[in-house]
Amino acid sequence: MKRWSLAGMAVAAMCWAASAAAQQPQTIDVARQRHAADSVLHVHVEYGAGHFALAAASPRILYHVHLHYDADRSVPERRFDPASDALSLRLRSREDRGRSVARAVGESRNRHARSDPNSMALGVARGIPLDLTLDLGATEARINLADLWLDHLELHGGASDLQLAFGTPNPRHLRSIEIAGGAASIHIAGLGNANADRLEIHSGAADVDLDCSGAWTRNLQVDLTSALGDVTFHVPSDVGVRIQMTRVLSDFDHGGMRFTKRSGAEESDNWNSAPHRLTIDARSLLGSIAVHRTAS
Amino acid sequence: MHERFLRIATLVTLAVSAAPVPAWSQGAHAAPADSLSAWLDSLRQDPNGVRVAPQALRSGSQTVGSADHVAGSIVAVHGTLTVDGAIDGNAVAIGGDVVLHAGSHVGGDAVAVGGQVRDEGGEVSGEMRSLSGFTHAAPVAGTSASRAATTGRSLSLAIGWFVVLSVVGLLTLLLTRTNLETVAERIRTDFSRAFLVGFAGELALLPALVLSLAALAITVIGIILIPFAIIAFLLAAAGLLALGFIAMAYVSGESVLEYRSGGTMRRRAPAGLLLLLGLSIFLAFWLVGALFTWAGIVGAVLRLVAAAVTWVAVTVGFGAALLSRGGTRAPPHLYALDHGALDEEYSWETPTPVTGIAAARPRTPASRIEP
Repeated sequence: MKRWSLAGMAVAAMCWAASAAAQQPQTIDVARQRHAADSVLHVHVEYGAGHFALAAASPRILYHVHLHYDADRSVPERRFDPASDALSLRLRSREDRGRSVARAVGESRNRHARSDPNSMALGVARGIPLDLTLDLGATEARINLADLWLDHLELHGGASDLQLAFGTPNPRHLRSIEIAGGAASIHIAGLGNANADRLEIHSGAADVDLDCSGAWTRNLQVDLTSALGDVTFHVPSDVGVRIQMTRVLSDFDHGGMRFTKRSGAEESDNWNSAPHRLTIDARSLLGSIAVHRTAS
Repeated sequence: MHERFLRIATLVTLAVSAAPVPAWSQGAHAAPADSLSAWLDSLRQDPNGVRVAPQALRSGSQTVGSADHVAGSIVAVHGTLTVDGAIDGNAVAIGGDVVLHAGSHVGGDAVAVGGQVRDEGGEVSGEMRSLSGFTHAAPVAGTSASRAATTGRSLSLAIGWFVVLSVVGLLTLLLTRTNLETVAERIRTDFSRAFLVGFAGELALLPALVLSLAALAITVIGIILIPFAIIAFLLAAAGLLALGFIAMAYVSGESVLEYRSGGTMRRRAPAGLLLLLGLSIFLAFWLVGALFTWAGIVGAVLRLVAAAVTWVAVTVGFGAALLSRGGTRAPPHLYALDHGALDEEYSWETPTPVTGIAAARPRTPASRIEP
């Protein structure tokens, strides 16, 4: 009986602690209409924890932010410079003013586990050039880049679970894409639609899945650094593949494709005849690299 | 008696936990006095609010007709703001929507607090913001609000730690009471040695971790085990520190109760009560420190005292936990006591280090040696 009483007290104390730590959920919707003078949109987001979504906004809107957060712990910061069309969004912790997103990962993992995590949904203008930089901590990010005109894309994922999709061909020439992941996963779909020259991925211990389907308009160079993670390329049959690897205790799975070794690199059998080419320069430690063919 | 006390304590704790959170603790969500000027202040202080002149405030729903032109801003308090015409400044609704019909124009921002900005074809030069409520105003250093907030945070932190330690302590009592009692006995019998060992242990924690990792790094398998070793080491250290501090709180509660009752209550009091009493003593130090957070140097000194007392307790507890191998090895005198308590009949025999009891000549009854 005494034990049950003690257990009851423990549970009651936990309930009390939970009610004492009650959150103050707050929701904000912010939008700005487009004006004729808007020529390019620069977006920089720092977001530590929770769910993050990005997609094209409705036609009249330059940007639209829907933010749900705990006002007791976080403070949203938003700056927009109409002169340069530069939008800066940040959700910072109340306790630690000025802390970088990367350093907040430990705390943000705890937040992530809570029942009512932060969430941010960002809509950005379609039909004008976009310069996008995302610093995400430990988030579950769903980034739909369909209908966006991307000039620049930089994404730091921390411990995020990242899913990017180039749903439609990017009409702008995207010179480079930089993606740095940490310990979760990175999934990119429709990479052929990106219209990019170069993709740089530092995946850390994250698993990477690159679906290279889409409307290829130019050759793509992928520079990849991975440790402890598995990297998988899904390449359409009409794209030539050349892969140069530096591997330490890592496996290479060619997925049934025929490769020929030339000048220290593996080249697919259609390398010389393919209309578009994918060149992969990969460094992998204790992981694996796999290349699979898909229908074009 | 003890069960009744525990039942009452459980009911009281449950009642406290079930009690609604008072309005003042809801921060800035709770509306200030329902007056127009208070709304104006909230609107100004909110990071997502706007600055408007007092004369812009109107009570109830408002409509700006298609032929109307408002030179400044307009704020509808407790009502919807419908815009068909033009507003040079901001269009704000508190507790209602801002509806922007086709052909309307807002030169500044359109803001709805507790409502939505509904764009039905209007034109807004600034931002359209819909807030579920007023957020906290950004604290300004040195203001009474920030002092109150800091004090509140310190109090919450102290109470939060108390609750966490209470839960951990009660679970420890439930699950590993023997270990806790053993560590507590070490503290009672070997306080100064426990402090010295605890202090040395704290100093040695980091070097021990580094040495362990260096030893593991010699082999390939060891390298793979390094992350697990780090986690295991940290868990073990945290476990010993927590066990030690809980034991120290237990002993402190026991001592206080013994002192108050002149030694009569200690054996009768339930262990949970002793633990909570001990934790309350440490909480009291931190509560006093937290309450004087606003008092500058005085508050700092009080917090320093609380930290020093807690550190000594943690160090002694840690040392006792180390000496007793996490509560698995009782102090030497307990073995002696156990032997003594085993059987009064053998108390005349000579204990030896090997068997405990050696053959000896039994006591001779007095009658036998009488002539």
